[in-house]
Amino acid sequence: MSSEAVVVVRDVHKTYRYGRSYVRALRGISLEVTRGDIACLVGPSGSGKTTLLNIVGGIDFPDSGAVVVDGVDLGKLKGRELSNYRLRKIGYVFQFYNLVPVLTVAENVELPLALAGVDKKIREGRVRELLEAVGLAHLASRTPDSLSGGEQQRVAIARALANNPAVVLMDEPSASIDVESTVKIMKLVEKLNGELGQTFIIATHDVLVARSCSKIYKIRDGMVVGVYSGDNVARALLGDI
Amino acid sequence: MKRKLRFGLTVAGIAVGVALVFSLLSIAATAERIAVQQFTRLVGYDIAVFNGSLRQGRLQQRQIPLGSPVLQSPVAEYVAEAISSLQGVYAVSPVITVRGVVNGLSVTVQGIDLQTYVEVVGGVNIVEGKMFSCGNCSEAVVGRSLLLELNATVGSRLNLSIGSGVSEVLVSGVFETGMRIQEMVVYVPLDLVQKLAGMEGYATQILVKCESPRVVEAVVNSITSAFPGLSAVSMVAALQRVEEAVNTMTAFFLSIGAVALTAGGFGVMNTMFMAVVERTREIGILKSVGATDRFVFTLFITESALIGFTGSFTGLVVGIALSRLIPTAVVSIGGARSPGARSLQPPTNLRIAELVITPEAVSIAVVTGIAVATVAGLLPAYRAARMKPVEAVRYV
Ligand SMILES: Nc1ncnc2c1ncn2[C@@H]1O[C@H](COP(=O)(O)OP(=O)(O)O)[C@@H](O)[C@H]1O
Ligand SMILES: [Mg+2]
Repeated sequence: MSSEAVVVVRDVHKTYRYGRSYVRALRGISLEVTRGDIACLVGPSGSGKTTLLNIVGGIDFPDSGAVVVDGVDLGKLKGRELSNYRLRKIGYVFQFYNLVPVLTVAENVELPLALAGVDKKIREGRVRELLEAVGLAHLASRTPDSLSGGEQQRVAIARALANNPAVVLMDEPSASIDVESTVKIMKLVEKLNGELGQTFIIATHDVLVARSCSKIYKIRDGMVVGVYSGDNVARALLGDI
Repeated sequence: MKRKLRFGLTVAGIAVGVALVFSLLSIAATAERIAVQQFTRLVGYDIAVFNGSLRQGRLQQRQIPLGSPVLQSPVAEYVAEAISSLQGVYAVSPVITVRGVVNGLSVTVQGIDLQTYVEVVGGVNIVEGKMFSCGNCSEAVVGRSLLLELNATVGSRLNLSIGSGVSEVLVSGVFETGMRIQEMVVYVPLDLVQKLAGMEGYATQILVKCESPRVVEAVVNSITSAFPGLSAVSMVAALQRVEEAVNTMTAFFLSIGAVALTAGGFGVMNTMFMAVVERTREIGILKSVGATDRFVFTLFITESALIGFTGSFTGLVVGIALSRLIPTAVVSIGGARSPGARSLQPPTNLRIAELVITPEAVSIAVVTGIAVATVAGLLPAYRAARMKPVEAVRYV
């Protein structure tokens, strides 16, 4: 693996206005994620993890600071370029999975391919391949609401991988599934990371998730307060993350 | 389920508009066709002179007695002679149009002067038998449709009564025009009608043929200045008047349809706004996985267009049914306005007007239906396209 930084976040600030009050969600956060890493943003609820993922995912925008993903400076994108960035550079597994309820499992996975203008025949093969990779080929024609939380999560992962993104973002993957499913999901993440070299950024405050990470960014109040890798990961997990 | 109902109601809204536009356009087109057909039938003469006033006392006028079979105030026959001496006049023919009864059937009876009628109008299209042989014999040329209804043939004898006058007439010939309305007519010699109706020396109209179309206006002017009590109507001018009337009617009908379509359009807008709100999350997902604004816009505008398409075709079917139901009496307004055409409009025509469905009416109705729905969908689709994905995906 190269040690090239695929995601660079530099001094990003983001303040939400909520009625008359202001919430400083990110306060000058900086980090670099190396290609091939499973990077985890670990911090308590409200520390700004989702906000950062949304900004890296190109669906929210910083007040100041810079974000560069796979050589693309997000501050310079607009309109169609931004859509294209979301489509090709990013795979996003939202906290609530966010599958399209009126589409089947296969169609949900096919969606990013169709949006990217991939040929129908190639699409079909790719959908099958992706569903096999996440172990859901047998559920291809079901609708999302007939699936368990863990299964929906896998479909969302398959969809995220569709256009070979530079990085897959996952927000609280264990938040609404049981321990057994969480273990399975993280095994899948490790497999995809090992076989495809797929980079992940995972926001979590669950040790079960964080133990799969190759790097941990400890987040507090919109800032990185510690970075752990290698043996330090296990040590960080023993502490109060 | 609720969504389906709303979709259905929205489609119905457009359908009502389209049905209205379509059926009203068809009625207008039908009115126009009838009017034009009646005029086409009259081609041959350039001016119809008749007594437009009910005032008494003038030399060339007579009051119509109550219950008379005569529909128009008579004009003295000598007026025809006077007109024939005017400059630019080629030929003149006095005609009487009255209501009569043949073998118990109410019909229109046309009394024509054999020689001058041929000169002015060009004759009658006789397909069987021949024109009556003399100016005062008891013979008749009968329309094909009427003859069929009477169950008679050439050579049959018919019982003709006009008011209190009764006569037996021999069917000498049959004419055809291709239009049932026009074939419910009996032609008999002018003298016979005058005698039966007690109108010796009078006609109901005087038909004038001019030397050239360019002098028609001048002749109309000299007739009305020579006989201030009479009306002289140029067929060209009358046709224009009918067309104007039809155009006014069409415009009026179209504005009714436009109001209905506008209401339908607001229905589409409302439905699409609700759809956008309901599908906020879906839109957010689409956009956050990489759908462009244009993609989302197209998605919603296509749905509006689909509502328009479904509504238009439903409306077209309803419209066709509707225009068949609307009493054709309405349809005859256009024709009845023209005094010259009155003679060719026996009372039976009210039931026979055939619906005219023009390709224009079909395409105008369908295209406007789709267009209205699509335009109404622009704003909702734009709002959907501009939606910020982060708002949509954040919470359940
Ligand atoms: N759209 C928003 N409007 C107002 N405040 C927000 C909005 N989104 C997030 N916040 C606030 O920003 C802070 C960080 O939120 P978030 O990034 O969701 O944290 P985490 O994902 O770590 O729980 C929280 O205090 C949250 O309430
Ligand atoms: Mg969060």
